[in-house]
Amino acid sequence: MTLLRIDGLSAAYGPVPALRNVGLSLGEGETLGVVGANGAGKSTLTLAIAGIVRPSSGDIFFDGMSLAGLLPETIARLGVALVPEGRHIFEGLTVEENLLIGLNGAVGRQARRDALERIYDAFPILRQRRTGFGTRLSGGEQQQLAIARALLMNPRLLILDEPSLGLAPIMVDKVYKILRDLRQQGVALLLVEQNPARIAEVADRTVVLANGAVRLSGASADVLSSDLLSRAYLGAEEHEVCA
Amino acid sequence: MTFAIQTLIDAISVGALYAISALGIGLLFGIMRLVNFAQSEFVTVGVYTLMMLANAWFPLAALAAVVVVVLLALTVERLAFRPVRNADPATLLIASFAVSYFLQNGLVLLFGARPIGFDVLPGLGQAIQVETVRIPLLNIVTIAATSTLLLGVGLFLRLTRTGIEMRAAAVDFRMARLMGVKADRVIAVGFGLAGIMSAVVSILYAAQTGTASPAMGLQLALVGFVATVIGGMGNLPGAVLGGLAVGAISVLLQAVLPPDLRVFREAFVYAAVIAVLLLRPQGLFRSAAERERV
Amino acid sequence: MKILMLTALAAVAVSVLPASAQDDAVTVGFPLALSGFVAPYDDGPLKAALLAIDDINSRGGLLGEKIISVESDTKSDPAQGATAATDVLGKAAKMIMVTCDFDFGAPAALVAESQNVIAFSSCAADPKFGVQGIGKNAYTMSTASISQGATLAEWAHNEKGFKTVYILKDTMVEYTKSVCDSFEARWTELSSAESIVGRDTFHGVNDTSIASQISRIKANSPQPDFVMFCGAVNGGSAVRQIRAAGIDLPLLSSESMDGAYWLAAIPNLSDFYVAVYGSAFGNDPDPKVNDFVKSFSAKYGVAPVTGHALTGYSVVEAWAKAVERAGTFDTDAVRAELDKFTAEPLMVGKTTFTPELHINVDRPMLIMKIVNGKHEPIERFITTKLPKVSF
Ligand SMILES: Nc1ncnc2c1ncn2[C@@H]1O[C@H](COP(=O)(O)OP(=O)(O)OP(=O)(O)O)[C@@H](O)[C@H]1O
Ligand SMILES: [Mg+2]
Repeated sequence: MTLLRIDGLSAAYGPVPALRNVGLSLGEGETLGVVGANGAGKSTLTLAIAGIVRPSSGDIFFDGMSLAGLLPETIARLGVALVPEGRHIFEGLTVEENLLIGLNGAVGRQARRDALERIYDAFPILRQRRTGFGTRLSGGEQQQLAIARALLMNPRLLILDEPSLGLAPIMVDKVYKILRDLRQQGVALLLVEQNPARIAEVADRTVVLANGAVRLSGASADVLSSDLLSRAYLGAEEHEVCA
Repeated sequence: MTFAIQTLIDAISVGALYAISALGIGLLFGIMRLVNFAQSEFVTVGVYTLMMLANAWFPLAALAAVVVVVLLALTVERLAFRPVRNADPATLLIASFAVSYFLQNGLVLLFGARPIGFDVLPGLGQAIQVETVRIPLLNIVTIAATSTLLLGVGLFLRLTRTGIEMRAAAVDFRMARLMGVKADRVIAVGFGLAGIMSAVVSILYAAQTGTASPAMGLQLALVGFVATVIGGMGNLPGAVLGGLAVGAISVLLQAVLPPDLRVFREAFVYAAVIAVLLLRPQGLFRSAAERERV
Repeated sequence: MKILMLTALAAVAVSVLPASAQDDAVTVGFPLALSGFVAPYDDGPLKAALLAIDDINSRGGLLGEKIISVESDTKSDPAQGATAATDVLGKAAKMIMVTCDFDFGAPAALVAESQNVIAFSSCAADPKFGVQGIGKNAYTMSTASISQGATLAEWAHNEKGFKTVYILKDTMVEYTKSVCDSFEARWTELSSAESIVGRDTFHGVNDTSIASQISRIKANSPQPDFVMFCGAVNGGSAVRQIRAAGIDLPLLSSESMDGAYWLAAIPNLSDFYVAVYGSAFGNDPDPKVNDFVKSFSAKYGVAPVTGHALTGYSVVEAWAKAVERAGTFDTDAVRAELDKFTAEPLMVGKTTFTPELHINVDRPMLIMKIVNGKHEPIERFITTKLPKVSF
């Protein structure tokens, strides 16, 4: 069952094209890796799905429903959670308040408390720091907070834009462990990384973006071992499919 | 000594009024990068409402002022700001000037430009004598009302879900929306709150001045804006402190400057603001700790 | 349908006829603030001027011609003043009356000057409004601000016997600054610099509160005999704050505080003195002024808000007298007659012009006292030592 389908998606910032005719799909519970060089259009793709960037053409379907023209908050409430590049922890809000923002669905005090407790069990550091400001956490802890509050939205699709950016290797390990667990739990993931090194650990399939277009796609292992990968990073022109 | 204590009380009560103005401006600026100069007319319309109901039972008149101003704020949001919500801050600023101009001229058309005197809450003209210091009831009520309002708004922003969403939206509107916070709702609540605060300001201001005139709210909005700059744009506690600071500084300067220099008091206040902008563009009251790692 | 057409045609015919083409009629132009923020200050003088035109027309007109009026709105915008003046001058106005303020009235007066037409400001109180600041055809019917301040000083000192004063000056407009400064100069001559026990300033619009000014008055020891209060716009707010703070000292002020519109802010205000052109309340010692208020009320349904209306009446009155004496509408001849006015008894008071001075400095003002919220006339008074006029 296809959860996310993107058809012929193009987007631009003013005259600068950022996405050209991008097509991809993602099944329920599946994990898709998206890699590409700086400026390839990866973040733009995530923002287009989330309803922040308005596409100039093409369509995005979530669970069979077109997202065209929907507000970001509506898309979020449909079950699409984006952990954007740079984490965007709310300044001046405590860790717990940051988490509470994600709690849209849970109705009733008890349901909220339970959901929070489950998250605290999964992210013990957040429980420990819950009354402190979110922005005072370390980079890795902030990334955990960003993922945790997205999870509180109960998403059917979780989009992560460069979750390992700027983290020490040990923190990256930790984040990837969380992602593997999520995958285990059947949450569909769209994982964007600039550095493709670890994407195969979680992604079933991977697409490579270059200059806003899909250059390479297929099973992660094949794509990432392909010698076409480096060509795609350098800006190859043809879309290749790894068998 | 008496003069010093009296001046301190003046400083707090003037600062308190500015603090609420600043909070209203700061809230909307945080949420939608809008410097809402139309807030001056929110206050002015409140004062005119009280003027028209000067002979009515006061609680009723006060309630009417709150209702009228909140409705005005919500209407202005709906009709004027919603269509340009995603425009750049400069466009928003121009829109707010346009709304302000429109409302002010509407008041001139309806009531004329001549100030209209009226008497509201005459009881507040009384004073309490403590030793040699005479504290007008109006000052006490102003300080009490503003503290209550600030406390109320503070608790609302801290304890309620909507309040927390507003604070999140004030610092990072896009991220808040990505997490399902409804833009329309947060902005409407923001305007509603700005309306309530303006109405309270209008009641206190009416009791103080007993005068309704079409441009009377302008200075309050201006000071509110200056205060949010001092406090750090988008930082609500900072805006409140900024308002208190501007009020206190103006009163203190008026009290200590020699007569020839008092005329330039405003200039000193604005020079201080420019110094703040140059030395601490993030605002005086934004702690470095809060900002790091953002 | 035919009737409609005819009426429409007739309307067009009337409107395209220049006013001057109307036989036996002379036009007076009013490029004034009919709307906007300055409108309240032009409203009374304009209505009074139209009343003066009625009075003259009912006596058979001027040099046998009926006076008609044309108005044009400056929208309270100085830049629009010139346009409005051009508009009424284009309709052949032989004299124009402009806004009661130098900054707002001067642009229109300059246009009249360039076309050699007499321009009267109703009540701009700045001596610049005249030969020196605009040109030989510019006059103002006001009593100069410098005379007002000196008059209040002398009256307080000689008539009230006050010994010490505290000066509170609104710095927003030139007018109030000038009143307070001339007050201070004259007071110092009559008494001494030491008898000014304190002074402070405020800004009528920018100061949302005058709390610290009030605390300073209260902290002043000894307390002054009275406060010279040079306030204007929002003066009522300042007076309310002063009285609410328990300061019951006598307050003296000039014509900018005329009128009862602000009094509701301070119910039962007492011990407040104001020097005005004449009483707008029907109790002027001069019955002529009371008759004016009566016919004003009869024509417009309400009494004039302030005594400034008298200046508007006298603009038309003065010009008509000069025209009659000159026997012609010719500007140069009329100006020559105006410049001969010496203590000319006009509605607004005795009025003097010279070829150099087109503003009054020695016309008595009516001092009124507010008692329990009611204006009571005291006397007409003028300083004995005329201030040095500088432009
Ligand atoms: N707000 C914006 N305004 C204008 N151009 C933009 C904006 N955001 C991105 N771009 C441009 O769009 C293109 C795609 O940017 P995008 O951020 O999607 O790339 P990315 O693949 O996420 O890169 P990175 O790996 O550096 O994060 C780039 O050329 C970028 O300069
Ligand atoms: Mg990116």
